[in-house]
This record gives sequence, C-alpha cells and structure tokens, in this order.
Amino acid sequence: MNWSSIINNTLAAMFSWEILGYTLAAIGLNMHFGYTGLLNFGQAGFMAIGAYSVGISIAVGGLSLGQALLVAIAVVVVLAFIMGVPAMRGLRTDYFAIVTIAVAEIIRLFMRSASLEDYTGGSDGLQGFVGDFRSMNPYGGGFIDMGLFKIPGNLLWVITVGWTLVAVGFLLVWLLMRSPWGRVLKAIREDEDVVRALGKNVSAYKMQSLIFGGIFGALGGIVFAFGQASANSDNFTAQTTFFAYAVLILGGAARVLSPLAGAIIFWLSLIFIENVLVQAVAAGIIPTTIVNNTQTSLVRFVLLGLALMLLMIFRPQGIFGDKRELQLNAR
Amino acid sequence: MQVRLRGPDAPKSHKLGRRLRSVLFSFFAAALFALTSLGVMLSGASMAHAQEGETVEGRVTDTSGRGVPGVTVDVVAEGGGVKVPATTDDSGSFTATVPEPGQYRVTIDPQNVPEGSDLPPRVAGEGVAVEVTAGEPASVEINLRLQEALTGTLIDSADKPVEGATISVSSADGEFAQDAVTDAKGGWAVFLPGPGEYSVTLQTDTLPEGIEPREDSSTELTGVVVDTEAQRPVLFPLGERAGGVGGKLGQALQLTAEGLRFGLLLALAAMGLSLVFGTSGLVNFAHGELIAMGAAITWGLNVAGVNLILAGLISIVALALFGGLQDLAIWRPLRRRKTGLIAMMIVTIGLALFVRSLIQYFMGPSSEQYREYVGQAGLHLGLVRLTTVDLVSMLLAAIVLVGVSLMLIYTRMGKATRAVADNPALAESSGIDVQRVILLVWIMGSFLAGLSGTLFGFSEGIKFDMGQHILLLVFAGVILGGLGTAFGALVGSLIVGVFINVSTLWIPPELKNVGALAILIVILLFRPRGILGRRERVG
Repeated sequence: MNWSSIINNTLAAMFSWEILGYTLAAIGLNMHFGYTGLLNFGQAGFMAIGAYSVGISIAVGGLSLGQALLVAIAVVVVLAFIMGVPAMRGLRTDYFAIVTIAVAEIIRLFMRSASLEDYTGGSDGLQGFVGDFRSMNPYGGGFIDMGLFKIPGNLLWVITVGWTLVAVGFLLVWLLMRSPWGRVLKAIREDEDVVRALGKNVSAYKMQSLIFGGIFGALGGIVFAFGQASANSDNFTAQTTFFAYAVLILGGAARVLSPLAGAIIFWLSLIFIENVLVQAVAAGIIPTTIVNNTQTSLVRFVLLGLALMLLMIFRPQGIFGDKRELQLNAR
Repeated sequence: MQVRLRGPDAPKSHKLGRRLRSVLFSFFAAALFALTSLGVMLSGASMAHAQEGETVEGRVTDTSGRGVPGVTVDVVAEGGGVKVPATTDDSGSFTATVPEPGQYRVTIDPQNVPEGSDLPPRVAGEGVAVEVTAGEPASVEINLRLQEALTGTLIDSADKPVEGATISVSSADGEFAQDAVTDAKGGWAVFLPGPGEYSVTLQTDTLPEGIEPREDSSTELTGVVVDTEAQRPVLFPLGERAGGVGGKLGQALQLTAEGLRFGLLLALAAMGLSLVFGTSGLVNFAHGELIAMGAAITWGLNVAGVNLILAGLISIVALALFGGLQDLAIWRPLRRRKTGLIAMMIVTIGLALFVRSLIQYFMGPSSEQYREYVGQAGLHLGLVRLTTVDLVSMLLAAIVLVGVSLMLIYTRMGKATRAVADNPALAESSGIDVQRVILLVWIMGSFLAGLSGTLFGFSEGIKFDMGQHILLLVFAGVILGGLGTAFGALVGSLIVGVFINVSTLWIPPELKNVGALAILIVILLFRPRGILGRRERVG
C-alpha cells in the first residue's frame, strides 16, 4: 500500500471543482430545506438550468459571459416560480418533494433529448462555451506547480471563482438569517400556520427562498459546467440532488457553514476510500474476487447510502448541526 | 401509559450536545488547518528537491489528438516490483507517482480502452518506455488509434429497433469472417483486423416474423471498402409485411396494447407504494430499488443456470422476505421512535443509494437480458402484435392484481388494511393491530414490486438503475389514482402506461416520460387527491 500516494491524491482532491459545485448546491438546499423547510428534491433541475442556460446562451446564442449569467438568473427565477406554485398552494411536504423531483426529471429529459440536440448537444452534452471564461484566467493554461501536485491553470481559475462564490454565499446566508426576513423563514419551517396568522405572506416568503436557493443551485451547476468544460445532463440526475442532500445533512442543515464542511468531508471521503481500495486491490490485500477495479468506485456509494441512513436515524442534525434548529417533523 | 417529564437532565444533555458540537467544530477546523499547513510544508520540501517519489505525467489521446478520459494506465518498473495505477481525467491526462528514478513502462490494458479505439500494437504488448530522472517529472504520450469497423442500426419501417438479427461480415480474401447480432437498440458492430474490402450479409432468416427486407434493396453487399481508421456504417432498409391495420389507427392500437402491458406492470409496483404510504404515511423513494432488485435477482439466478420461471419465483419470495425484514429492522423501530416522516423519507433515499450501488456492484453497469424467452417473434392477434412473453406477463399481472384486490375487499386482513389506510388512529382504537398490518403491507408490496421488476426485465432489459426511472412513472400512476388508495394506484398506472405509449405517436419516444411527469404535476396542483382519492386536506 502506497500511503503517500493515497494521501497525496486525497489532498489533491481539495483542489477540485466538485467540492465547490456541491457546496453551492447545498447552500441553496440549506435555504430551501434547512431554513424554510421546503423539501426540494429538484435541486439538480436548478443546477441543470444554470449550466445549460449559460452554455446555450454562449455557445448557441453568442452572448457574452456576463449576459449569459443574467439569462441564467432569469431562467432560474422562472423555474422557481413553476416549482413555487405547489409550495404556494400549501401542498404537503412529501407531495412537494414529488413535484420537484418530477420537474427536475423533465428538465433532464429535455436536455438530453435528440430533438433538441442543436441547442443542448443531446446526450453528449454541450461544449464550446468556456472560451470567454478561460480568457479571463490570470493563471494561464499550463500546469501550475502547487508543490505537492500540479494542477491545470484552468482548473485553478474555476476553483478561485468557485471559492469566491461560496464565500459570497456564506456571507449572504449569514446576513439574511440574522435579519427579520430570515426569522420569518425559520418560523415558516416551524409552523407556517402561525406565521400566516401573524399576517405574513407565507407564499411570498417561500417563493423568495426558492429563488434565492435556486440561484445558488444554478451557480453550482455552472461550476460543474465550467469545471468540465461541458454541460452534461448526466451530471444532473436525481442522484445529484441526493448527493447535495447528503452533503447538507453531513454538515448539518440550518447552519451557515455546514454545506462546505459537508462537501469537503463528502468528497474527500469518496476519493480517500476509492484510493485505499484501488491500492489494496493492487497490492493484493483485497482479493479481486471480492472487489475488482470497476467495483472499487461502487463500494463508496454503498457506504455513502449506509452513512446517509445512519446519520438521518442517529444524528439527524449532522456533524455540526443544532438539533433544536432542525425539527424534521415540521411540515 | 407512562408519562415522562423532561426533568433536570434535559438542559444538561442540551449543554452536552452543545459542547460536543463545538468540540467537533474545533476538531474540524484544526484538521483543516493541519492539512493546509501540511500542504504548505510539503510544497516547501518539494522545492528543496526532498519530495518523496518522482512524477510521471502523461496523456492518452485518440486520433484527433483529443484526450481520452477514464482509461486506466499502469506505470510499471522495468524488472517489476512497482506498479502504480492511474486513471486519465477529462482531458485525458494522468499523473502517477513512482518511488524512485529509473526505467519504467506505461501500459494500458486493452480491456479498459473505450470501444472502437485500438491500441498501437506495441503499447498493448509491452507498453511505452519512459525514463524517470530525479527531480523532474517524466512525460509520456500514448496515441490510441481508431479500429476499423463496420457498424449499423437495424430498424423496421415503424422506426423500432430490430433485435436479434444476425449480420455476417467477411473479408474479400476470406481470411476474416465474423457475425454480429443486433442488440436491444438494433445496433451492431464488427471490428475488423484492418482496412480493406469486405462483404456484409444480413441473414434474413434471423429477422423476427413479419419483418422483411424492402424489396428494392439487397441484403448482400460485396466490395464494401473500409479505409484506415474508418468506422463505416452499413444500412439495410427493412419493410413490414402487409397485414393488420395500417396507418395511424393501427399504430395507435398497437401502442395501446403495449401501453396496457406497461401499465399493468406499473400497477403491480404502484400498489405496494400506495399501500405503504396509505398505512404508514411514508413516501418510499427506495421502492424503485425493490423493482430493480426483483429483476436483478431473477437475472442473476437465470445466468447462473436456474430455469427462468424458478428464478423468478425465488426472486419474488426473496423480495417479500426483504420487504418484511426491512419493515422490522428499519421502519418499525423508526416509527416507534416517532421519527419524522421527512427524516424517514431521507432514510429511504440513503437506502435507495445503498441498494442501487449494491446491485451495480454485483451485476455491473450494463443493461442485461434473461437467457430465455427473449427476442421472441410477435404473434398476430387480429389488430395488434404481441409476443408470447408479453401476453403471459399481462395475464399474470392481471391475475395477481385481481387476486390482491379481492383480498383487500373480502378478507379480514384486507379490510383491516383498508381501515388503517383510511384512518390509522381510528383503526388502532377499534382493535386493529396497525403494526402488523403495516408489516403485511411491506411484505405484499415488496412481493408485487419484485414480480413487477421480473416482468419488466423481459421487455426493458435489466439494469441497476431501472428502478430509479420506473419509480417516477409509478409515482405518476399512484398520484393520478390517488395516493394511499390501492385501486387508485391500479387505475392510475394503467392510464399512465397507455398514455406514455400512445403519446409516442406525436412526440419523440425519448420524451414520452415527460408526459407522465407533467400529468403528475398537474394532478398534484389541481386535484391532489387524484381520481379515486378521498377528499382530504393534503395541503
């Protein structure tokens, strides 16, 4: 077992856009689920909308990066309104979850449909929209020596922008959640009837929460798209939403910084477990009859599923969460 | 009933929780800090050339110079002893760290190369040599070239793929001859030893009944020239023998029949989902995995040599046991702990990921087929054409559905189940053992889902994530009929099944599920209780 290579690969994974993409998606979910109590199972839909609006605006529409981002935000607002209608009509949490997962699936099916291939690239995904973004890259296209490992300048640029977005997200969530607006959201999570009785417009608050969290979901999708230089519908399945939930719950819902903590733990554990397994198989410690090379990546998802179950059962507030903040019984 | 008061220990435990949290947080922060400083220290070390190990960087490219992602390469020391695996990233680059300078070879397992790309012979044989000197990363580039191939897709006049037809390819000098059989998507490919002239023949006797080559086209093509690195497509236009009702109406009837079959299989799965929701309030996002598990177990046994019917029976019984155990081991204790329904829903998501990954672990990522009863020819039944397997599936599903319905209506247990679904509190106070009813519903629901998955396996193939995709359609059926009702699930699923199939007359087939999902959303918005659901506050 080559432990230095395992540690090296795991540390190198700190410099990955995946962590930032999932953090941003989870910041959005934290807004929806952690603070407002909206069980949005369609975050992957917001992510896909973000990635594809920017991709299509640039690659097909010929817009600049700034304009494309504005388009993305506009489309996210529209999507939030669509998803928000059931929430406004006061649909029960579980029904709302089913509606949102269905909306996200519809978006995914359209994005990979052959009939829209000219716009979305079909099942191969959409490429050719990163030029503008990369031309702003201050690091250059070559490899940047980070000492322990080298990472491509373009990746470093995506990561820099991603960390900035995450920092802005945390600042915004922190400020909003100590404002009267944030207290209303939390009150809606605890008992929306009481809030309504106090004369607040619950529907409007829910919609604002959906839009705000949706924009961060879309930013997560955009980080995915620029990280891979491709917008691919396969990245935005229901599984992506559930990974974002795993990230949020791991860190602890309704805490400002928990999405980042959760994403780092989530992603580094995945990389670490995979590397350990690969090395153990290569070194013959684990016989290939039990785990072969293609199965190593699956073991970690088996463990992830198990971890999510156990966490939800025994420590629903996650690692850093506050149990009083998260009464999951609240509708 | 014992009344437990939150005594003086409550604030104490809360304080403890708080302390634990801050300890965890500071631990996390400290770990992050340690990692960062470790990184900084190591970077300094590397600049002083004291870094442990040497770096081999490289890139795997295809003929157009594009990087090939996901190829596993091994960096092997000349003389053995060291073998470092690395996988190419999205740009085709890989980095491996070897312990010391020296002579190395970079090899690729031909098995791991994407289909259609071929390794230059020397890479496949012995690898590309690379010399690693101290303190400087060594770099290596491996070019894959495209393997010559003849490919094609066989579709009939209705644009449906033709599965199981044989296509023979032989070289002009007769030294190479190979057959290909079309897969479920009608696709076939024969990889060739090199460029040259080949002849391609469609074996007409392997075509399903009723499908024939179009009269004006030939099924035997000779002198097909394949250039270096070319993957040349070959087409065989197919027609359909006259007979049956032609035109849109005929197609609509055919699609309705297929939709009924699909709907019946959906209904099997939907009943369990709906009853579990009705009796315990839980929306089970892992229900799709029960479907996939049913199909996967049947397939696994069948491939291991067990007769398919016996395999199906074992699988269904196994699923029933699994469902019962699941309720006893997970859901009943959670209900007893008064865990919230949302928390339980998230537990089902964890369970779904767990089971789905396990299935993929055992059966791999590809779509599989049973060993028996596949690729059957269709039987003409007056206006529509269905295979024997389709008919048997429909009949079996219908019998089981009627049986379960009768049981729900007439037996004591069935009445109890409906009573619990109607109003658990009232049922409990009238002496019904609610926990027992829920256990029974789990057993029955998993049994039905297993049967549904096994039958879906015939027509849709068996794949680890099939449940995930079917689940949303099951939701659509259940919600259309009225969540929590058994008969609503039945009616709703049939409507959804027919609707999505017939809708392919007007919309592209890959978008057919969109219609079902749109129904789901519209129903939830405007009539959340569905067709047969009772009026109650769902908002």
